[in-house]
Amino acid sequence: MTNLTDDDRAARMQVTLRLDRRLINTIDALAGEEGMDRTELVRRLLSEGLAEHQVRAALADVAAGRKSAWAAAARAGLDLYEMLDRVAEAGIPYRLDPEVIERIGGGTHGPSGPDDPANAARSPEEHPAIEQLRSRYRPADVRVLFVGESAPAGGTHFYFANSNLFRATREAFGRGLGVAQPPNGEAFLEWFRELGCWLVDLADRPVNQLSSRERAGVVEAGVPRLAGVLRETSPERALVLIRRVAPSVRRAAALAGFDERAIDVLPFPIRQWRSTYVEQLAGIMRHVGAKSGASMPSPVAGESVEADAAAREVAAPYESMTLHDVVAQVLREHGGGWLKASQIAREIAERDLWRRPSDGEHPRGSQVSARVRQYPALFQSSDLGIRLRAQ
Amino acid sequence: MEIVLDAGPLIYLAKLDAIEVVELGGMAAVVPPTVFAEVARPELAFRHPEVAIILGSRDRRQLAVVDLTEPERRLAADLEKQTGGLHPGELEVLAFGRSRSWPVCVHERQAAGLARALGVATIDLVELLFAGKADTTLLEDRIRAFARLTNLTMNDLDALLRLVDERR
Repeated sequence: MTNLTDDDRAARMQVTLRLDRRLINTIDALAGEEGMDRTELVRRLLSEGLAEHQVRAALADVAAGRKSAWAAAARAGLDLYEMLDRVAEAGIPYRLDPEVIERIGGGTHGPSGPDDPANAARSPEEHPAIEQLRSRYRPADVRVLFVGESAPAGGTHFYFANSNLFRATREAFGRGLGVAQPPNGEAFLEWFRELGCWLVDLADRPVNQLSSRERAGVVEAGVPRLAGVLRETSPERALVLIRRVAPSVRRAAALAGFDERAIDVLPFPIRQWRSTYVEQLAGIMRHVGAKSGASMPSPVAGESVEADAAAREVAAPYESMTLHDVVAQVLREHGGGWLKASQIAREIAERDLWRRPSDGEHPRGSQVSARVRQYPALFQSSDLGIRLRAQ
Repeated sequence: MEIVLDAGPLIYLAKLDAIEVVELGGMAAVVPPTVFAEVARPELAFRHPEVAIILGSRDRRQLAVVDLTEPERRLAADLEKQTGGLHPGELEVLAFGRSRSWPVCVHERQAAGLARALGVATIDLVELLFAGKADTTLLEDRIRAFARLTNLTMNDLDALLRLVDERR
């Protein structure tokens, strides 16, 4: 018999329950065999039954994909080791994502395997001309890898020297490397190659006429191939030329062991994004050129209207700190993660960290973005926001 | 490059005695504190010797426990409001991946799908095994053991074994 303390009694509530007589007889017989009273036995049976019920419910959640094993374990009061064992014992099947098999296969073997240098950027049969040009303009030592989404379906292409991307890139190279009249046409493509720059596409066919679902599938299928290109060429930098494919490029980088901090994401140069693309790429090429030393022209400060504005701010610091110092400080205080330019501007204003010397106002998000683009060695820009390139 | 491991993949890597594949694959394994607290509970070591393997990996610096920053904690809390079905420790894994752009290794397909929807790159545990450059006999043994531990479907097991054969 159990002796109850006052605390035990206080922690319990009385419940009246009508049970089938045969069940009560069975309980009484079992209580007699185990030397305890009916109430205590019922209490134990309820407790054990409830625990088992919770585990069954948790397993059902895992089997139905409603909860992860860990979340289900917490609900059932189990540790994760026990839960994983229970999941296996219950015979709940585990299925791989089909993409995993493709990535392993594509990343290691097969006729289009990227580990084979000859296949690293192999082109589809439908676009031999583009692929021949891509191969022709491939640098011996790739320093900057430009990653596009796909060749457009409309007959233009960077390597045909007739696309928006070509024209904006040419302008950015001129600004960034201080060349007033950069070469045009094939001469620019040769200069592009000599600078160690190479453009590859994630998708192996045009995607701009596909549905968004088909488009995503074709782009995703290019991830292992791009991982192979990154592994093979080990560029200093990878530039993503359209924001929506940035997650796929990061996935390829992860597979290739490529440093994610060497990836910059640019907006595709159409409509209002063209000036941002040119400015950001010019800043990056200025940095690449500076690293190369005397073999490239020195950067020319203040070539664009935006750069002029930024340069004025650099020359006129507020309380000895420049805007990019303040941006770096804010990012550092946030632990080195991504922040949007608007968030940074808001924090600068709220804490009154910096004001424009010209009018005493706090900087806007657009000014923060413009300044960040001037310092590609210090900041990394992507679809996720801005962060410090190195901690 | 860092990769954030969720508790499930870390337990399986320990069961397969294969935690070193992360390093051999050119990556550095990182876990948030909640994950480490779950998989390295001393009171479980007697029943689950994997606890000792994981503690040893941390001591050999094959596994780093990294604290979340305050913004990352807030992000994990926000994700909890937006998503259901995951443990808070798994949300910390996703917060790391999202905030630091580190790829994550999670166990369930649903969690991997959610990670991708949040813009976080994912690497599956079997990809780590293949990336670990183990000899093919050891790789096959590990794949078969993983299949037994997880009830991996026969189709998936066959596909993985074919990939192992292609490496021979």
